Amino acid sequence: MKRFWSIFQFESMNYIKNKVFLGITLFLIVVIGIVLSFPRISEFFASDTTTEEKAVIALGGVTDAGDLAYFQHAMPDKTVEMVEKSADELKQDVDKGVYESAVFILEDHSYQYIVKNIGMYDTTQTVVNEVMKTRYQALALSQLGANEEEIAAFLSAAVSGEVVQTHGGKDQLNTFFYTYILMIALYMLILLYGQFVAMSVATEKSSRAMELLITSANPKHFMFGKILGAGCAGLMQFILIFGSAYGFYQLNAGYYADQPMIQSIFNMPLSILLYALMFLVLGFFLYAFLYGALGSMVSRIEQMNTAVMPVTFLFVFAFMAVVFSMSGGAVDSTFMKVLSYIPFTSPMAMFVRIAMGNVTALGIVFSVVFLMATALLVGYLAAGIYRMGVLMYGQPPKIKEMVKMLKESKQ
Amino acid sequence: MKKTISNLLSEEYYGMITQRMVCERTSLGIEFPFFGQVIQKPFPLILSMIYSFYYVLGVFADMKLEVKDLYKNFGDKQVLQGVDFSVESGTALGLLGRNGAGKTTAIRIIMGVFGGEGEVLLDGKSINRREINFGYLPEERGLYPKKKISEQLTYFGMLRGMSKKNAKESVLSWLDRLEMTQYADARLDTLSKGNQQKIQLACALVTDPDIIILDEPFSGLDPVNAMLLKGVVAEVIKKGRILLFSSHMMNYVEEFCEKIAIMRDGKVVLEGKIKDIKRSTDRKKLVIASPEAPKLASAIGERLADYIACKEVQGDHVAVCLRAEGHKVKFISAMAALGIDFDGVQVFEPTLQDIFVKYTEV
Repeated sequence: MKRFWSIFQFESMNYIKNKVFLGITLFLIVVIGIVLSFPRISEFFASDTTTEEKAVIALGGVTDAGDLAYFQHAMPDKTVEMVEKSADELKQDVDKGVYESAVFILEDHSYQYIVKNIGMYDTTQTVVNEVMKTRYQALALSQLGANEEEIAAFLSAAVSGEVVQTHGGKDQLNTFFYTYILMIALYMLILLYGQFVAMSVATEKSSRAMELLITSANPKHFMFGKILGAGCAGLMQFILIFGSAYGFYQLNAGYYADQPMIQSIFNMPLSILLYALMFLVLGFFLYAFLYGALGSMVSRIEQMNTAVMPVTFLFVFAFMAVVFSMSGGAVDSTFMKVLSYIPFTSPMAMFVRIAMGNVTALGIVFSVVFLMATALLVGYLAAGIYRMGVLMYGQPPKIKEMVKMLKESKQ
Repeated sequence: MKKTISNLLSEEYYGMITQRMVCERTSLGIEFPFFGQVIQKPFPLILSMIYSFYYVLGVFADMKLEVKDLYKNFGDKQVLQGVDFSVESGTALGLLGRNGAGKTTAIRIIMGVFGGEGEVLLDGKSINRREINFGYLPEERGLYPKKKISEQLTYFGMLRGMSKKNAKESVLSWLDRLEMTQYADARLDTLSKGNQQKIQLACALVTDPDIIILDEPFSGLDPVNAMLLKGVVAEVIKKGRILLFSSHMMNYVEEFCEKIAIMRDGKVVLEGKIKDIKRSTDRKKLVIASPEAPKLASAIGERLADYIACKEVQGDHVAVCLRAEGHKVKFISAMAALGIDFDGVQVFEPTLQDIFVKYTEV
């Protein structure tokens, strides 16, 4: 046990003392700090600068002052100006940058939207469309004999509705963001630290430090010590990053009072966070065992990527399947149900179903127990493969040879 | 200042006290082992001496490592097919054989890396690898290239059961002994090959192991470093450790090893003391040193042809093969009677190289 502890300490220190590890963790914390403190920072700078000038939109063609009021009301962040210019003149002006864009009304229900650059999230045209539609509806109603009040009442009729959600159901819109963030964290940590394990084993093998290591202590201790060391470093990074994000959010909580999306992320239920941690740990062990065993098969670092590819593919597949199901809102589809019980996909699939879908307690227990049992079995097999693999040099063995090795290692 | 009990005992006794049994004198008094427990109280010196003596007696008895009937196969490949040899403390066994003869596999079975059929015995009992400390210098050198030397040597010491403090102290003293102290904080890959080799040896010896296995320890060393390492290896043997020495450099084998075991195709084809092996070979060939070698050779050919089956002149020497070993004395007296000057007569003994080639050639 003392030796196992030495190995664990040595392995975790390898990460903690590593400058890249420290640098990336610190960098991420700083970035999160800046992003979450952004409203505070921008407010600080905003106090000494004048408000930004509003973009000007020209309104021309068959139009009147009433239209101007409509447009200005619909686009409060822009300045709408009425101009007496032809469509061609407006085109030239927009091209020169006199106006950001221009609306040239041709008839009651047709117009030209003249613009130079259309941004990715440019909604001006949609707004213009809406305004034109309302304008036409108002015009039509007045032609049918409705007075102004009636028209206003028709056009601004409000429907009142209330959502009554039954107990235990999920609101996917509210749960989506934090589930997504935790999923990404789960994916990154398992994949990254799993590969670190494989890399570490392969490095020891290719530098032949393994020859000495394996004669100094039990190979099982090396594998488990290494995996636990990497796992602890990963968990520490997870806690540091998420902890500091939470800290920065609390510092700037006042600025996010009207941002339900950000609030939903930081006010996620504790149970979801704990589920994420549990699946992170179990998923990590399962994959780290596989990565460790595969790392022990290669003789040179260059062979490692090819050797671990099947496992990486499996994991990336699980991630993609779950992310697509999440985005499509189909977290409880038959496909996801199946994935949530397969140990190699369940860390992500079951987690998403718990967070966003409906799954019975028994289902969760079943999935977790199955995952644990598989992780133990894979760990047991991986220890056998590792024991034999670390002393084998040359071409990585085929699956048939690996089975044979396992049988021999039990002798 | 810390002092080991070895200061109180003779150099030879020190050699016999194993790592775990080294007693330390602290400013408080003396720490010493007592049935596996370290007692840290200011006992009187005399009492500690008695206990130490009890321990010294306990380990002073010669240890004998025996390997009996080892078999091992990897898949369909029979790597070991009945390997037997033995080695006693205070001596070195040269484990020889061509590449692929099964030496490394045998070494790994001894160290418990993997199992195999057969027995590894220490003093007649199945070896308990938890109690016995191994020091290993593998042929394929390897440590962590990017790690600080003192750090990784301490780690290896701890992996083999030392406390961090003891491991650190031992590492520093070995680095000092090998003249490597200035590299304690350097990364291994910044060192030259020869210096890396010294670090590798320090790693093997850092726990003051009971059984030391050195696989080609002298490859890649310059003559000065080779001398330094030779001194260390000789010291280790003198301390009463068991040494398994595997090398293709026969001069070193002859220098350190009293006994050899030559392996071929997974079997020991020859085992014994080098002296005895050499003596056991055919002793019918004589080498006569003479300033008049050609003259002596032709005289022998003409007048002593009854005794000899062949003769050959090599520079100042004449080599002759006697028809029978019993003719040696008669032949020498007859040759002396020829009246031709000669400086000496010696029975021709094969070199270790000759023996190796003879037993391992296909």
